[in-house]
Amino acid sequence: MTTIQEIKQFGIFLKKIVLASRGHIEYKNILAESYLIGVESLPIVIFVSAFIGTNLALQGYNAFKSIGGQNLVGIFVSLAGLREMAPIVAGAMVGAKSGSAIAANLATMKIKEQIDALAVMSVDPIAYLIIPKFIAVIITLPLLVLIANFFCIFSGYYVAIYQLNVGSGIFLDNIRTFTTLSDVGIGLLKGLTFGLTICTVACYCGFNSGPGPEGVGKATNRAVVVGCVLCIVLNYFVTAIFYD
Amino acid sequence: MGSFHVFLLDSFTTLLKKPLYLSEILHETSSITLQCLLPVAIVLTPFGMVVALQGFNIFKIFGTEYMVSGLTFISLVRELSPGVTSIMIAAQAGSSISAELGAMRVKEEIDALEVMSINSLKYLIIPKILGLSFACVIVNMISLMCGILGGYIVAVVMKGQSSGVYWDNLFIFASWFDPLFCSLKAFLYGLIIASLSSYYGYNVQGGAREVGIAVNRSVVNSILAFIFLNYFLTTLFFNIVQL
Repeated sequence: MTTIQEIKQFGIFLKKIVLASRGHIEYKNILAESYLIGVESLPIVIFVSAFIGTNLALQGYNAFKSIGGQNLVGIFVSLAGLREMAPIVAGAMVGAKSGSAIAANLATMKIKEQIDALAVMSVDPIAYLIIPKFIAVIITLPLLVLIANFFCIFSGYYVAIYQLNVGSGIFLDNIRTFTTLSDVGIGLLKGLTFGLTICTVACYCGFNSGPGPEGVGKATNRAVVVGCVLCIVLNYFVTAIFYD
Repeated sequence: MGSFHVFLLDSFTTLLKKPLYLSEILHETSSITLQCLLPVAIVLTPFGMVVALQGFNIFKIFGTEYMVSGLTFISLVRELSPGVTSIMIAAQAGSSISAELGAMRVKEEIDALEVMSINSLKYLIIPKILGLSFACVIVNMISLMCGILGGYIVAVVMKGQSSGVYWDNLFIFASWFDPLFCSLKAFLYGLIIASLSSYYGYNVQGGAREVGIAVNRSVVNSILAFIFLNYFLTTLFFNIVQL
C-alpha cells in the first residue's frame, strides 16, 4: 500500500471514530481499559522519569557551573522536566508498553476474525473496542504526567542535594519562583495529546494488521515506532504554539 | 537474571572461537542502520528544534541569544542524541530482532541449525548483537547531525539569527571528549538492547502469543536498563572531565 492510500485509510478510520463517539458508549469497559493503560505503565513511567530527573540535575549543574550559577540547577530541572521531559516520557512509555499491547491485542482479534464476529452480531467494533480506550487515555494520561513530574523533580532534588551539594532551600526556592502553573498545565495538555495520538495509531495498526503471527509482530512494531515519531513531531508544534 | 548472565557468558565465549561470520555482522549492521535511519532522523530533528526554541526564549531574557547553538549541541551530544536514538532503535530494531528469533524458535528453525552442527549463538546471536551496536553508533552520529540541523532551522530560518553566529558558537560549551563519550554511550546502549532482545527472542517457549509477549518485554526492559545505566555513565563522565 502506498503512503497516500495509507493516509487516506487513516483519515477514514478517524472519521469512523468520530462518528462512533456520538453513539452508544460502553461505559463498563472504561475501568478495565484505564487499568491496562494507566496502572500497567505506571512502574516504568516512574522508573524512567526518576532517572531522567537525575540526569537533568547532573547536566544542569555542570552547564551552569561554567557561567558561575550552579544554584540555578533547580530552575533547569523543573523547567526542562515539567515543560518537555515528563510529558514525553509519559507518552513514550505508554506507547512502548500499552500502545504495543493495544496493537497486539487488536491485531490478534483481527486475524482470528473476532472483530468481524462482533460486526456480525451488530456490535460496532469501533464503539465497543476503541472508544473506551480513548476515554481511558483522557482520564489516565494527565495523571501519569503529574506522577512523572513529581518523580522527575524528586530524583533531581536528591541528586542535587546529596551528590552535588546544592542547598535544598535554594533548590526549592528557585522552583517556586520560576515555575508557573501554566507550565504544569501545558505539560498535562501535551501528555493528553501524546496519549490520544498513540492510542489512535495503535488502534489503526491493530485494525489493519496483516495475516498471521508476522502480521501481528509487524503491526505492534509499527504502532510503537509511528506513535513515538508522531508524538515528538507534535511536541514541537505544541511547544511552538505555547512558548513562542 | 541468572539465565540472562549465562546467555551473555555463552555468547561471549563463542565470540572468541572461530569462525567469526564477518559477512553476517556487516549485513546486520547495514540492514539495521537502514531500517532505523528514517525514524531516528524524523524524531531527532524536532527534538533539536524544541531545544533551540526553549533555549531561545530563555536566553532572550539575558540577551545572550548567540548561545542557542551551543546549548542545542551540548544537550544533544550529552543526553538527547544517544538516549532518543537508543529508544527508537529499541522500538524498531530490538523488537524486530526478538520477533525474528522468537518466530525461528517457535518454528524450530534454531533446533534445525543445531542439528546441522551450526552453533546458533555464533551464527544468529553474535552478528545481531555486534551489528546492532555498530549500527547504533552510526545512527547516533547521523541523528546528532539531524538535531543540529533542527536547531539551525529554528534559530536561523525561523528566528533570523545569522548562520555564521550559529555555526561559530556550536562548540562553545563542548570539548573533543563529548562526541567520543556520546559514541561510547550509543555503543553500550546498543549492546544492552541487542543482548536483551536476543535473549528474550531466543528463549521463547510456546506460540505466536508468547512471541508477542517477548517482543513487548524486550522493548520495555531494554529501555529501562539503559536509562538506569545512563545516570551512572553521566556521573562517570563528569568525574572524568573534572580530573
